[in-house]
Amino acid sequence: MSRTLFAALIPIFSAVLLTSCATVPRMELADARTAIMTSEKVNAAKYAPEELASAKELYSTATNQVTMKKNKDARLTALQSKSMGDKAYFKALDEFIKDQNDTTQKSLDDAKESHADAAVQDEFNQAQALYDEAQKEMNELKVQSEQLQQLILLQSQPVTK
Amino acid sequence: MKKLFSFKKTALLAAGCAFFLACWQLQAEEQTVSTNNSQLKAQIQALFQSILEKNQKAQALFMEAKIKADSLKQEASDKLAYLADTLQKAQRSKVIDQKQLDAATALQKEALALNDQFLYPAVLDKVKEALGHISSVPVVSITVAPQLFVPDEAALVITPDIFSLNNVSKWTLSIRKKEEGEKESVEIVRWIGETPLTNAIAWDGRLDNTIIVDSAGSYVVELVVYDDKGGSGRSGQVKFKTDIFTTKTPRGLLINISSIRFDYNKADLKPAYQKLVKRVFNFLLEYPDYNIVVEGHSDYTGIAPDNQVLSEKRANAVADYLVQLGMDRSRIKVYGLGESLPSTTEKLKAALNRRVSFILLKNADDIKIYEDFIGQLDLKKEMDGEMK
Repeated sequence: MSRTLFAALIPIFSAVLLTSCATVPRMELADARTAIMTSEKVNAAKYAPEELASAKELYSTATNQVTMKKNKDARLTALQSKSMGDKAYFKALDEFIKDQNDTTQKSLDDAKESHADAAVQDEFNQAQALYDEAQKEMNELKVQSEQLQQLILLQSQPVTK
Repeated sequence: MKKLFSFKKTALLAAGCAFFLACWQLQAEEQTVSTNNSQLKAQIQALFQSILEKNQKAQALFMEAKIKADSLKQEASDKLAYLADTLQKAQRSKVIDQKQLDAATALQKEALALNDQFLYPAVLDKVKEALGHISSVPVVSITVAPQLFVPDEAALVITPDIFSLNNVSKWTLSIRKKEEGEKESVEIVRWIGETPLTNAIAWDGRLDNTIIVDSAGSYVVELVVYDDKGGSGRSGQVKFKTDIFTTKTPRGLLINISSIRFDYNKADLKPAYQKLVKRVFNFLLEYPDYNIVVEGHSDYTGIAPDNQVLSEKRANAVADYLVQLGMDRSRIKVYGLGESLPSTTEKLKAALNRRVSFILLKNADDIKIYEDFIGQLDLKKEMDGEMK
């Protein structure tokens, strides 16, 4: 009897496993939300406002789809939201680097125009050292950003397939 | 049949396990990627914060450096202009030591060169050093002309030369009379001003618009200048003398000098008046071509012949002292005029008439004029006597 029951449970277990994909896409939704929050931390609101808005809108659609029990659609929309969130994140990072560099370069140029490099050498050199350090970190950030983009691309390939 | 079931069961179990393992592996791979993502994102976030902070700090420092440089530029420009103005003033005033002025000018050149290289703090140091060569308190000098002053002939002109880095808030110019052999001098005139003294001051030699300064006197002029920072400078005492000056009278040129006075019925030359006689002596030394009449006077108390004798005694006392000082007797004429030429007719001031006066004889005609006058005076006295 028990053997018969066990044998009957195996297909049921397998069916549960197979159908588990059609449940509420909690993980995808969480990932999308994390992507949006992370992009906000790098000033996406300033540097990638359209992408951020799009990611937020998609996330909102996904949650609505969950409410309407359209879990399969919700999963896809959540994945799109995450992808848009990541896009906002990388764009913001890139723009941020450019913006920071431009702003600091401008203040450096202004200081040089006032001959601060000769007149107040200590203060100018201190600022220059900080700027140089920041630029090194910017290069590092670029490298790491590219690595992350590749990782995310790899991660998203099965989804796109 | 039983064997077949067993085979089916085993196959199903194996398929289930394989599916489960596949799902588990897929999830594990996704988790690994996700973990890698999180780590990278955390690193990126940390870098982002660091870059943000460093850039913000660098921007603030650059801005601070710019503001400071602009401020220093302005300060250096102002100080250079001040130094240039100061050096110009110093060159004009001629009271600043030339070596110091040269040193300051050389430093000014260095400061200008540094300014061209935008080395403003060094510019400020050089300017400070240059200004250190120029006095921070007023430097004052005066010139007085003529050295031998004759009131009424021409004014005594006192020309100031003042150099002050700060604004002049007050000045006092005083003329003091210095008696021979006396350490202390007595102030006789003073001018005070609260605006910069730029023009020369002319003095007519009068003490209060009426009394004229004594002739043959030694005087000193001193100018003191105060600036608005509490500094002050003195010109030092510049000497001048009043010439022996005279008033034209019918009997000749009466020397304007304080009269030499005598006690009642006395003909002794008091020590206090010896200085006056000495001044006349000094004047005659300077002008060897001039001669002098020493004329004695008396008040009108007593009888005229006695007064005549007394006046002659007084004139002789003064003449003797002049000779005692070294004067050649031949240059001195002595006359006693008795009570015939009183300086005042007021009874209460009768003492003013007990005196000796001096008549300057510039040429041979002068003694003739004098003697003619005396002759007429004697004639008048005789006529008065006959009338009495």
